[in-house]
Amino acid sequence: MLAGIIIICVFVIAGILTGLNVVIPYSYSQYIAVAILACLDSVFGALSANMGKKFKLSIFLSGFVCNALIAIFLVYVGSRLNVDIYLAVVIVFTGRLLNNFTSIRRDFVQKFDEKEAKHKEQKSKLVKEKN
Amino acid sequence: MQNKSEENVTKEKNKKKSFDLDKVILFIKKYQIVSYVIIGFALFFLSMMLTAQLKSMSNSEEIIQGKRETQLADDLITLQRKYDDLKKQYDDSREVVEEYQNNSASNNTLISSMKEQINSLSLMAGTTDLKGEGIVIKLNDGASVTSGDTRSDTLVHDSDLLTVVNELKAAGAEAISINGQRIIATSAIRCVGPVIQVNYQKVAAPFEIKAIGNAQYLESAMTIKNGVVDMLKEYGVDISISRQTDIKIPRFEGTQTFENATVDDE
Repeated sequence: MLAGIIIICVFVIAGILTGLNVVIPYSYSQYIAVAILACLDSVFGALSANMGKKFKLSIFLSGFVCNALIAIFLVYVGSRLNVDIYLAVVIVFTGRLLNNFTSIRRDFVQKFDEKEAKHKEQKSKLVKEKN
Repeated sequence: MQNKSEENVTKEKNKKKSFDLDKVILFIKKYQIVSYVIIGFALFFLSMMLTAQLKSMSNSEEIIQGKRETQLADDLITLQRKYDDLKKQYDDSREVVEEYQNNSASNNTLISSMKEQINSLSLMAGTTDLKGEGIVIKLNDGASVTSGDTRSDTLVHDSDLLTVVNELKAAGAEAISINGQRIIATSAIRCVGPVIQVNYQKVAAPFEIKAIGNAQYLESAMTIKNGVVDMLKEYGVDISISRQTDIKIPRFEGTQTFENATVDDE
């Protein structure tokens, strides 16, 4: 687990460093922004799935790639048809992102509460035994 | 469960290939690492895109504005240079033509008659500078509303210029120019936004219309009762006419090409 986190951190730092040296032309920035949203969505989805021990690498990876590609494609089609489809893409992905975040938070709070309850029980047991 | 069966399969395979058991275990351990590496790759791309986007967004506005301004300035400079070059070329070739005309006219009578013809034709076509007696009409936008007319009526319109030019032609003007733009057979006077185009060149108020011809005729044609001058004065346009004995009218500066028309010999 620790090794995995270290590996991921190394990759993220490498990504930031390479990102600092990459210049995105202004005309492509819209596509990249939508792709970022799609990727963030699948990352958050993976996190929330991990909370429920339902994480699957294949689903994460396919979602990561396909979501981004479809989002970019939709934005492209929208710009061709003179419809702001990217707004719909942004709304959907942001909504899903927030949903995922909510479920992550809930799981976290629930686990915390359970631990707290166990702790209290143990304490009360100890007190009873002492008495 | 699936993982375990896969592990068994890989174990068997490795056994067949006669590998050590330690290596197999290492491989299994690495297998988890491989999944982390895959996730890491995905996050690598994500963080790369994020930072690149943030970086290029933070200074994009300056870049766009700066680029646009500098680009436009560059375009303007190159066009001005081009214009200067072409103008120089035009003047050079014009000099050459004049030289030919002067040289050739000296001895041969045929050529001298041709030269006369060229002179008279260029007089008609408006490709020579002219001088002579005539009138100068000055038109300017009226400052105030005179008789309840709307504001735009006190401005000088393209139609006003057209009427004046038309009247001058009717009165026998031999050469006309508006703000230095010679009026020739194909000249157009039209409204382009806030300015007026004559010969595709922008001219703006105050307008100075020069006309060479019989000054008396021209002036009386202009100032006739209920004529052009009266009409324009009623609109609130500032208009003044003066007779002059020595008016200079420049030649037509542009080029004339006939792309669709050909001479009909029959």
